[in-house]
Amino acid sequence: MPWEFREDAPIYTQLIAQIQQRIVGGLLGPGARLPSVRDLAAEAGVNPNTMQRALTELEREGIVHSQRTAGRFVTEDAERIRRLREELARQQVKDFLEGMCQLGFRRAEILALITQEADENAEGEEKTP
Amino acid sequence: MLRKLLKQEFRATARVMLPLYLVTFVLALAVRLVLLLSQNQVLLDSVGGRTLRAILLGVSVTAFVVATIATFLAALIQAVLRFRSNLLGDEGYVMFTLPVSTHQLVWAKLITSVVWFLGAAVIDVLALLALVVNLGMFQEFGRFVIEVKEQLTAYLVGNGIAFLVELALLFVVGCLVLCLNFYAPLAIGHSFARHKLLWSVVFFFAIQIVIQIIGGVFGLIALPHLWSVNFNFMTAAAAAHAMMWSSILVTAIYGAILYGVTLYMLRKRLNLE
Amino acid sequence: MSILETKGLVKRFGPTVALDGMTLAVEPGRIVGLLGPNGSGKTTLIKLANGLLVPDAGEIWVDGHQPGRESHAVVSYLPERNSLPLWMTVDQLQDFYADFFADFQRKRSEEMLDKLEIQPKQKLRQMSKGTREKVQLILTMSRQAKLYLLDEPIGGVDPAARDYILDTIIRNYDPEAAVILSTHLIADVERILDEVIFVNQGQVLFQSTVDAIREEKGKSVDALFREVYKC
Repeated sequence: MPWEFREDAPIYTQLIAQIQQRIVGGLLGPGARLPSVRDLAAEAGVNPNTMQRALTELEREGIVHSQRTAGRFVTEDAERIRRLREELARQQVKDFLEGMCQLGFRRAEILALITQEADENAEGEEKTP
Repeated sequence: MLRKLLKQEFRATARVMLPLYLVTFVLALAVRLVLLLSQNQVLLDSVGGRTLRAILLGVSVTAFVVATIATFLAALIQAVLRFRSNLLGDEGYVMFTLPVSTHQLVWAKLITSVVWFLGAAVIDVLALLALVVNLGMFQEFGRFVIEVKEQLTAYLVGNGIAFLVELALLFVVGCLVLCLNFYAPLAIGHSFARHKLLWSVVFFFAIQIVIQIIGGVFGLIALPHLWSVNFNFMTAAAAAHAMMWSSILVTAIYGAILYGVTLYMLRKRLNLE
Repeated sequence: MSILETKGLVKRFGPTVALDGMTLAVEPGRIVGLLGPNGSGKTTLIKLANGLLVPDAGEIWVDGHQPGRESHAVVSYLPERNSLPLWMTVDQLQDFYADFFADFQRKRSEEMLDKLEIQPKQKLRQMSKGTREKVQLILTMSRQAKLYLLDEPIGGVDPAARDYILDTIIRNYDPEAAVILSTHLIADVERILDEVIFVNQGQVLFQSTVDAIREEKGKSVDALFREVYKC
């Protein structure tokens, strides 16, 4: 999963989002050890202080925790990860709805469209397993 | 740190100077070989033998003479080029950001150059010896040295060695001044934004002209005066010493002025491209 | 204490004013971009910090010293142009750095050279221009300096080399040291910077952090740069 950055938002918030995605998506499982700040920064091609700032924020949110000598780990609290997953999903839906509103769609139309798209996707998946 | 700079200087310059020394020495041996061959009766009697001998001798002797001069010339050229490329060229970015003083940078160049000048003198004498020496000559040379020493001792009231030391000192100071004669105008010329080399040449001649004028004026006014005053109550030896020391002193003062100018320009007016 | 500090720094070259009262401070632990168009005074400032030029007015301190012997020992400088002697081999250059800089980490340098498969016995003269630049970068970054001054490190290099240079800077990051790099190619370096200093016509326009600019202006530093220096 490559690191990608938009131009119009702070880098550290984008780092937080992308690390969260990795955790929720299972790329970094519960209890997984994170690479060092320097390695993570080099991998993402960002400033180490910015990476540090993102990790500190994630620590504050209880998603990762650091052990003095051993390094930094993803939380083992499955409940916390499940909650994070839900938060991210809600955010996605919120953003989506906002966009649809701007296009002038109503609740019923939106729901119908979602069902239709989801069904088509499911068929496509059956054809090419 | 000066020691480390010197190590770097010798590393850089030995690549040129040592092979040249070697060539000079080999050429001396070559001339000697030609001389030996040319005494061969068969060769001399053969058709064209004399011509061949003349050509071989001419070529080898010329090459040897050129090489002996080249050792000195190369010492001077490397002194000048090294100063320019290593301090005033792109390499200056590295050299002037080392934790060393500007004094050390300049002295590393000066000391290295003097060593190569001395080396050239030594190698040329050795080569000449290799060319002419045989056992008889060795003994003769030994006698010659003793005789010279006696003569010197006789003439200079036991100061023969002192006289040689003075000569060596003059040689060293002369070499330093020779280098600084180029360093100062190069340092001035390279402080300009453009036409750095052209300005260097201009200032080289400007300095020479100023020195000639000062020397001329000094000669006109001061020297006859000194002459009439001092030499009347001096022995010949004392006069010679006085001459040597005043030469050393004047050269050293001139060198110190050039050194001061060089250092000021490098410290305050450095302008790397 | 600031690792680099200037107050009202002025430098003229004949009639041209290169620095016109430049005042700034850089703290340890930061990677700082010195941004500005060509001729805005970036190189002049870096040369002054290295003692390669003497200011006409104002003051400059590097780690509390005037630029000179003491500051040279703690500053690692990558000039704009390749300036290593071409006759030297990589090994000799490492000897040279180890000789003069007590903070030179030979092991680090050897590792980085090895990774690029640069032969220690090879002379600089036998290398391509790009490889020479990498050797100088490696030697510069292999010192454990307090201040790294990198003058246009990514000017005129291909994208792969640029990534290598930026990666090297990140990997050698030291919280005790500051890195200042000058460039006019902001988009490429923006992400590795903590702070940016915008300079123009020999003066500091402003100094801010990258994320503060993105947060407040809702645009990248690159976009802001284009706006500020619009022709």
